[in-house]
Amino acid sequence: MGFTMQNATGSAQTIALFGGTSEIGLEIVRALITPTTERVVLACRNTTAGQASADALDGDMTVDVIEWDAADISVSADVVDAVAQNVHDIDIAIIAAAQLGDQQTYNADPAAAAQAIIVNTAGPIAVLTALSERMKHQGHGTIIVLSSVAGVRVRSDNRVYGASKAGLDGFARALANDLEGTGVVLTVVRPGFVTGRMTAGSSPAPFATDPKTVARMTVDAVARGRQVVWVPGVLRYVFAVLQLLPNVLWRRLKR
Amino acid sequence: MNEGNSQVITGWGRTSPSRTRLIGVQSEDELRRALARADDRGVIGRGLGRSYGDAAQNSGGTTIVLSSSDIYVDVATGVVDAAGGASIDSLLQQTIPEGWFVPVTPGTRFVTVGGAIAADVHGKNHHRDGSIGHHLVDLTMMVASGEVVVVDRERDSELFWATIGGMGLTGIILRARLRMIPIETSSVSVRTERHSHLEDLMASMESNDESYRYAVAWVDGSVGGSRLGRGIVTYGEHATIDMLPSLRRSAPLDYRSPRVVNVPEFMSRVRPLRRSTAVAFSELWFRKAPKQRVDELVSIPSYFHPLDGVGKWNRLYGPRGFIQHQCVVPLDAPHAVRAILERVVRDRPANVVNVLKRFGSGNAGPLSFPRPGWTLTVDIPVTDDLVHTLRDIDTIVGEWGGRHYLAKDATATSRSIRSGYERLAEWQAVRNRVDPHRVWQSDLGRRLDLCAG
Repeated sequence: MGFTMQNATGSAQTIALFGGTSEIGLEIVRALITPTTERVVLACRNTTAGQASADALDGDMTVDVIEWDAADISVSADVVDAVAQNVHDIDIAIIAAAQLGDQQTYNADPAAAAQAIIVNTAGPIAVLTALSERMKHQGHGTIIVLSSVAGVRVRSDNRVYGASKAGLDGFARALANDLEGTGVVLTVVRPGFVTGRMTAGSSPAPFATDPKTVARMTVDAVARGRQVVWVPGVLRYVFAVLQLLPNVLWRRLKR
Repeated sequence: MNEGNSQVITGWGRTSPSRTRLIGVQSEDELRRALARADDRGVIGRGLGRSYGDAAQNSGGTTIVLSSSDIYVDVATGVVDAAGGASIDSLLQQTIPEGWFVPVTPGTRFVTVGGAIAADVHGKNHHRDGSIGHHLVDLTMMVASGEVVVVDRERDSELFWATIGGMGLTGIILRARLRMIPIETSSVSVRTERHSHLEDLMASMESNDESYRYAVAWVDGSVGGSRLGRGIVTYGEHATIDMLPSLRRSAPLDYRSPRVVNVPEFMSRVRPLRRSTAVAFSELWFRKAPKQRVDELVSIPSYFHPLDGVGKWNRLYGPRGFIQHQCVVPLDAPHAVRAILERVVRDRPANVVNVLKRFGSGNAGPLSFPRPGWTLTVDIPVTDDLVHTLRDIDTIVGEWGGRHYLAKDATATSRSIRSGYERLAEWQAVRNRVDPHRVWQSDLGRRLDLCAG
């Protein structure tokens, strides 16, 4: 049992989603909502879309939408404060802000490549830093970080996105170790190809999954106190093999 | 004073663990220093950790255990002057041989005097004697500023009553003076009745409990239908000397606190209490009770504190712990008791301890739990479905104008307790006066948003 969530049944009273319009993030929020959930905060860049997401959440709780642009790293501490203003203690926070982007576009626009790293890595790391300090202070809390198998071994045709997730994943794993014994727990989620808005138009890779499955497995992993969850679970073994693959074979591997 | 160990603590239900700086405090000066050092996560007092939920936890903040536990008994008047950290167990060891008994004891004697007052505990005699707040002479407490004040029904009676049932959020109780009740013997004369369904059980209590000082019923949570709410009601009176067999009359007040055998730690890590075990236990328990028996003499521990014989029995519920849900619904709403029992039975939990009792008058404490009505207590191990069961029970409690017992609560929400505690704002006003900077805080206080406003 992880020590979090201010209720004997393991239900969160307050949930914060950073990246408030993320399809997977919202599914995780849905899977976490129980009759005792009182407040949900969606922090997102596009508050109009965020409000639509808020309206689509079922439950007897208050949902607030606050503006947050992951690219604006100067406001990271402020956004955590703003969320805390709304919920008092943050029981569970989900870090889901990310953009996939297209490698060809990045090749043509180096600034866009750097910008993707800011949105996917720098912004989330800044928020995670502020958030983990706040949760250590409150003595409890659960953090869920949406990583990706793309960061486990970065592929050349997806190298910007892969590198951004590799950075976030590495940081999150190390942060989880740092949080050991503080009352705060952190789970890193490594989904494979997830069908949905983000991947619309690309053909599914092997072991594709969907946001609902990611959410269900994430909530289960959190309840069990797991530091890492692969979705689907078989990817853990697939990547154990892929990481051992000699580079000469890896670079020829098509997805 | 030690700087405190940062450690993870839970209540008796072993749910909702949280990390706190736990400090043992020896003197008023040490206590004052601890208060002065508190940050925005505040301070809460903790006694023997028998609150089921998160009442005596303070995640991220400080949790204080008072080490002083001295007790002075005025054997002539029966008034005791006890330190907040003194236990009812040690109190009984001192007073019973002198012919005095605590006016109110909860189902365990391993609670502190301070904790008992903070929860305004009740016992099997509530219908006649009220809760512990009714029997207090005065309280000496330290408030948030570090000042020590003595409060009673005249001196700052607002703070006095806000502290009784105030869950430790108005200040910490250093000493309490309490009026005891006289007893001739350390035995209890018990009448037992077995009833095969809820209506009979409730009817018996309605017509008989006024004739006895103590009355409580165990309800079988494993059967439904026509047997729903079958149970055993016991009525008790302190035995007089002439009731004792002649051999025992020479030492009628003989009392010693029984030895406690702990459930080993590993039991909390293995598979929890099974439903089949619970059902078998309930069946046996029901069958072994006589249809009716009168004038049975039993000891104080076996009558008042039967579970205390097994130490750390909370380990039996396994790694996820359990909750104890206690509510009171108005006397004219016996249907609510039936509805809650039906809901519990429907889930078929591994449930063995359910207690039903009629409350008498409440007291002036704005957060004091007891009020005239039926109070039902159910133990339920934590499972994935529990949250839905509790939502349904809370709906029933709300619909019938009932309320939750905060000392046991581990699952209610700020919404669900507000309909039951209509004097919360009045209590908050007192709290804001004596603790404007919110020094006193607890996980329970935060979860239920008690200290807002």
